[in-house]
Amino acid sequence: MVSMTPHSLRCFLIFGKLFIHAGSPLHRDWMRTGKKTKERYSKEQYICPGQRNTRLFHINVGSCNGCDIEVYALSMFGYEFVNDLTVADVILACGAVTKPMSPILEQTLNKTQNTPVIAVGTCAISGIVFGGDKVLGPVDKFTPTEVYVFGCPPRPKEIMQGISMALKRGGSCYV
Amino acid sequence: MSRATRELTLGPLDSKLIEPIQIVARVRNSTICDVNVRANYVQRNIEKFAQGKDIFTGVFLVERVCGICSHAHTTPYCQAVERIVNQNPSEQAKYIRVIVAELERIQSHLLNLFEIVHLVGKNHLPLKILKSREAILDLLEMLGGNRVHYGVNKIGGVRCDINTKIKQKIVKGLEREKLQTKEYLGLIEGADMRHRMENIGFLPKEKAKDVAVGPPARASGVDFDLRRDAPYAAYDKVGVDVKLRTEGDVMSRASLRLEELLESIEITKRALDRLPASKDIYGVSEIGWGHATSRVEAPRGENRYSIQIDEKGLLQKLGIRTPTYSNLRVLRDILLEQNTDDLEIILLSIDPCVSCACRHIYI
Repeated sequence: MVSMTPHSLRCFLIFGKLFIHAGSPLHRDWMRTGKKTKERYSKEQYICPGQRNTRLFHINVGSCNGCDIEVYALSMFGYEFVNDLTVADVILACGAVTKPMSPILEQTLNKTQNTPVIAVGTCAISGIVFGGDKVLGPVDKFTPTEVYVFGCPPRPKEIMQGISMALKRGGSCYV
Repeated sequence: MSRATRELTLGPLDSKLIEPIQIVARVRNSTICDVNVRANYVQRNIEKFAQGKDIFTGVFLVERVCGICSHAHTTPYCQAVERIVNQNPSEQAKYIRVIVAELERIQSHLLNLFEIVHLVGKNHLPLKILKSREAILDLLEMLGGNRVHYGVNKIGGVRCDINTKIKQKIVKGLEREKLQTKEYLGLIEGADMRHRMENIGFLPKEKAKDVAVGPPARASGVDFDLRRDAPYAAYDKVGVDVKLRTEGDVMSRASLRLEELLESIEITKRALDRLPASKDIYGVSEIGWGHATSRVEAPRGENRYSIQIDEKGLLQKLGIRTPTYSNLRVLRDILLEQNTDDLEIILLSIDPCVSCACRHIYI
């Protein structure tokens, strides 16, 4: 007996058991609360602290470069910037989401499993003063956000602190 | 010889690019034969949003146009508003504006050098460049209180003062920077970097004279710099020695930026020597109406602001013409007939600032 739930939730019931599509909002929440961490991270996947560089995926969703140059200053401390989302440890989103950038943000985040999203800067958190028809809003309007790093722009030290917070919660690796 | 063309897309999300910009190139036999550039991803319509706001909020808004050259945006804005309300800043405020502008130019050029060297693939050199950039950011933080949006400018003056202690620290930091920059200049003009960057992305002088501004134009032999030709703030008293190159390729643009950087260090030192010792830096603003235009030489070229204020003292119209807006029009010409491997380095050689270039256009 299969009963379908709304498509947006991407989950279904078979014989009373709930099956959740990987990457769905529900699945992501489960991952984040840590209920399924043991199944998710097998021994091969679990990365011990200090074994490799932390990989960052950086999205500029409409920022003024201020946060971006502070994010890129992290390469001094051994962080890697990657093109491939599947190997990234965290996603750093900078800036208030603009109209042309919102479909790209949604497309990109649909590919992720449970990579934590960090909103870097006051624009990404609240959209500061920007409004009107071109700026749609803060980042957490489009995707669940793990950590918020305040500042206009935040210092590299604060961003590093945010990354370590996000990674500790997810349990994948530490800074 | 195959005649088939294929499409090569760079961006908008790429770890080599700091900002979202999309370049779609038509490629035949790994030679670029057509280019389309899309650079409207971070358009926030600050000009539209500023309408109806008062002139003091405008300083805050305009600073958020660009994070790398925020002082180069507040300076023309404040100058235009000062022209409307008939209020000249004091001598000391003008000198402080020059000092902050030159420090900003240094960090902006170092960031571009970092991007280029990072792309070429040197191991430790990019990190070294970032570290010397941090030293400049520390000086700016000491002046304004923030690393990126320092907020030094105010209408009718500046917000912070430079005392003898800060002066000594800046001179000390610049001396160290000068030695390091000479080292980078030697490395850039060394054999392996020269092999990578020479004879690609050629920009002829006629084209540069029509469209390009700033370092790309000066590297092609166009002798034009607003700091010398239409001096604002205290540049007429400090004096500027404009650097020129005539080759017009990627190599000449990169080394011209470093030469300009050395000149900026000299300008800052001269301005610090001649800084008047008065305490009169803050301006008291009055309300006026009218329209005015002001332009400054930003790190990337000419930056022009036109402002209209209505009778209530609110912003009626704000027009911004940024240097990257001009320089992106050159991009198609310098990318044609080039190898696809050189696409990224040619893009970085004009130092694109996409958040500057995404502008609201009045029709």
